Amino acid sequence: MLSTPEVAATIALIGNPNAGKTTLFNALTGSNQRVGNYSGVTVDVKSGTFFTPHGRKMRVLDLPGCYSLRAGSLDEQVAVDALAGRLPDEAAPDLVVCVVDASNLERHLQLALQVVELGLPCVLALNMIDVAERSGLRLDPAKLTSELGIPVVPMQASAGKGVIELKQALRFPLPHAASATWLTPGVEPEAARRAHISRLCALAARRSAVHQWTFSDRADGLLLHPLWGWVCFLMILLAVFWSIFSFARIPMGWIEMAQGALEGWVSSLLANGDLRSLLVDGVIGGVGGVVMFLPQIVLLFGFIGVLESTGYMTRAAFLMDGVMARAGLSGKAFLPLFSSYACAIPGVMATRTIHSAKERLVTIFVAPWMSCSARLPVYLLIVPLLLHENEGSWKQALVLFCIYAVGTLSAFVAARVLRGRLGPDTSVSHFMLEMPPYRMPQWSYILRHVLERAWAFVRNAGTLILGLSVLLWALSTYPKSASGDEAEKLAHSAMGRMGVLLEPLVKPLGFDGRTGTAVLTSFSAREVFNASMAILFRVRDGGDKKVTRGMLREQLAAASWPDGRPLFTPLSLLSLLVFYIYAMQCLPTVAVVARESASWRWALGQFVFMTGIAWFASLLVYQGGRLLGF
Amino acid sequence: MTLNQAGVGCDLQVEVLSGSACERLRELGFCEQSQVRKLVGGRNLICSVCGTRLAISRELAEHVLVRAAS
Repeated sequence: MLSTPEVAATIALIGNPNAGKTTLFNALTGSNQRVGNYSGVTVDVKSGTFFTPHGRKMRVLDLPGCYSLRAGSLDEQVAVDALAGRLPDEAAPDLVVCVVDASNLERHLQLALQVVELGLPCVLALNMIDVAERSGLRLDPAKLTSELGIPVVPMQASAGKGVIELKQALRFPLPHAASATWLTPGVEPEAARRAHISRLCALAARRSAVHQWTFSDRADGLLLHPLWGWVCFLMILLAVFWSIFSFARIPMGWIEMAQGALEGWVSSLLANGDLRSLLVDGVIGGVGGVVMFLPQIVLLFGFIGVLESTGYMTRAAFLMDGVMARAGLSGKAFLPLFSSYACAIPGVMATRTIHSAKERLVTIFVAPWMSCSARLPVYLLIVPLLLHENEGSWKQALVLFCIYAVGTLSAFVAARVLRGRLGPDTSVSHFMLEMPPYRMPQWSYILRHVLERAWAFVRNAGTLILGLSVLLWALSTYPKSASGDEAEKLAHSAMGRMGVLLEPLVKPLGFDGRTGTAVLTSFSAREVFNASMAILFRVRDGGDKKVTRGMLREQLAAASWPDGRPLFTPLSLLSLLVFYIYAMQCLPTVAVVARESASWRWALGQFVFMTGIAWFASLLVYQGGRLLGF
Repeated sequence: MTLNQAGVGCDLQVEVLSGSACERLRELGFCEQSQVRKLVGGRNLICSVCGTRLAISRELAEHVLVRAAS
C-alpha cells in the first residue's frame, strides 16, 4: 500500500536543553535545523514530517528545551503552550517523545514524569547512550519501561542509532497514556517525583561509586583556569580573526581572477556602449565586489559552528560572566552577543533564553553593535587602504581585532547605561548554566549550516545586490552629458547630483558626495557599500580597465577633492570605519528587533540612536583628528 | 556549611536548599541528598552533579547547605 498523504498524528519532541532534541529531529525528518552543544539553540517551534516503517506520515514538532513545565523563560513558555495545544494554528500533540540524556537521568526524568502527569501518551527516548556507558553508568531500559509504564528506546541520535526503533515505537495504535503511579495523596508532587526518580535510578541506572575524572574535567581545568583560561580564550579569538584574514586570501584570489576573466570575456564580446558598461561596471563589478567576501563569511560561520558544537561556547559564556556583569548583563547574554558577530538576526533570536525581560531588551538593543559578517567586506576594503599594504598581514588582523573590540566595548557601555536606566528586575534571576561535556564537532551539521549561510549570502548578492547594482549603475550613468570626461559625466548624472545634495551632511565627517551616496545606499544592507563604491569610483582608461578589488583600492587611493587634496586620508578612512562600526544599516535586523521586542518604537529608536551615534562618532574622529593636526 | 565555603575538589552531599531560586536548582538536579563535587570556585562555581557540570553564581551557592560526603 502506498503511504497516505495526510498526516496521521502529530508528535512533539520535548526535553531538557541540550538533550539532543534537534539532533533527533534532524535524524527523524532528514532536515537541517541548527544544532549546537549548548542550551538554547532552539528557541522556536519547528516542524517537519517523516514516515513510520508502516508508511504512515507523522508530523513532528521540535520544541525549545525546558527544565520543567513551570515555564521560567520565553522559550520554555513556548514549549509548555505547545503541549497544552495553546499555540495558534496548532492542536495539542497526539504523542510526546521525551528526549532525555541517558547520562543524567536524575535530572532529565523530572520533566518526563511531568509530561506523563499531563495524561499525554509518551515515549521516552534515552539519548546519548554512548556517553552514559562511557561514564560507567549501567542502564537497564527494560526495567525503566516496566517501572514507568511507557516505551523506552535507547538511542544515539547523533550517529542515527536507535532511530528505526523509535519509529517502530511510534506505530499505530499509539501507546496509551501511562498513569502517574508516584503521585500519592498528601505528598507534594515535587517530592513524590524526586523520590520516584531516585528509586528508578537505583534500579535502572546505576552509577559507579567513584567520581570519574573525565576528559572534560581535565580540559576545563585548563580552559576555565582564572589565568590560562583567559589566555586560551583570547588566543582562540585572535586565531579565528587571523584565519579569516589569511586563509581566505587564496579562494578570494580565485574569485577575483574569475571576475576579471568574465569581465574580459564580456568586454571582448560587446562593443563599447551602454550595454557593455551595464554588464561590466554594473552587474559584474557590483555583484563581484560583494561575492568576493564569500570565503571570509564561510570561515566565520565555520569557526562559530565548531566552537558551538564542541561545547566551548558555554565555557566562554562562563568566563565572560564577570565581564558581562560590568555591563549590567549576565553570562547568558554572551551567547546571543557572540552569535551577532556572524549575524545580528540569529543573535537577537537567541536572546529568548535570557530570563530577565529587561536584560533581554538591553541585549537586543546592543546586539547590532557586535560587528556582523556583512560589515567584513567593508572593513576589508578599507583596512588595507589605511595601512597601505596588501591583504593578509598580522597588522591587518590586529586592526580588524581592534575594530571588533571597539564595537564590543561600545555595546557594553551602552548596555550598562541602558540597564541602569531600566531599573532593577522585579524578580531576581541567578546565573545558572549547564556545561555540556566536550564533544567532537558534528562536521556534517556544521558543513550544512555553513553551506546554508553561504547560499543565503550568494542569493542575496544575486537578487538584492544585483538589483541595487543595476539601479546604481543607471543612476550614475543617466542623464548623460555630452562631455567626454568621466568625472564630468558622473557629476551630471542623477547620482552625482544626489551626491552634491548629500555632501553638506557628510563633509564634516571627511567624506565627499560620492562616498556619502555609497553610505546612503548601504542602509538597505551594508555590503552594498562595496558595490556602490565600485560603480561610483570607476575610472576607465581606454575603456578596457577592469574594476577588480585591487583596482578599486588603487582608484580610491588616487581619488581627490576638487582642490587636489587626497580624498581618503588615514583620518577620513578611520572616520568611515567608525561610521560602519556604529551605524545600524540592516533592514532585516530592524524587522527582527521589532518582532522580538514586540515594539516598533524600540526598533526604530534603536535605528535612530545607532545611526545618530555613528554620525557623531565619525564627526568626533574626523574633526578631533584634524584639530590634533592629523 | 554553604557550598561557597566547601573546598574545591571536595565530594559533598546537599542537605538543605533555601531561597526563591531553589525550585530552579532542583530542576537542574541540585536536590536534597544528591551527591555534588565542587570543581571550580570563585565568582561563579562549577559543580559536578549527576554526571553533568553546572555553573551557578556565588549568590545562589549561598542558598545551598552541604556536608562532606561520607
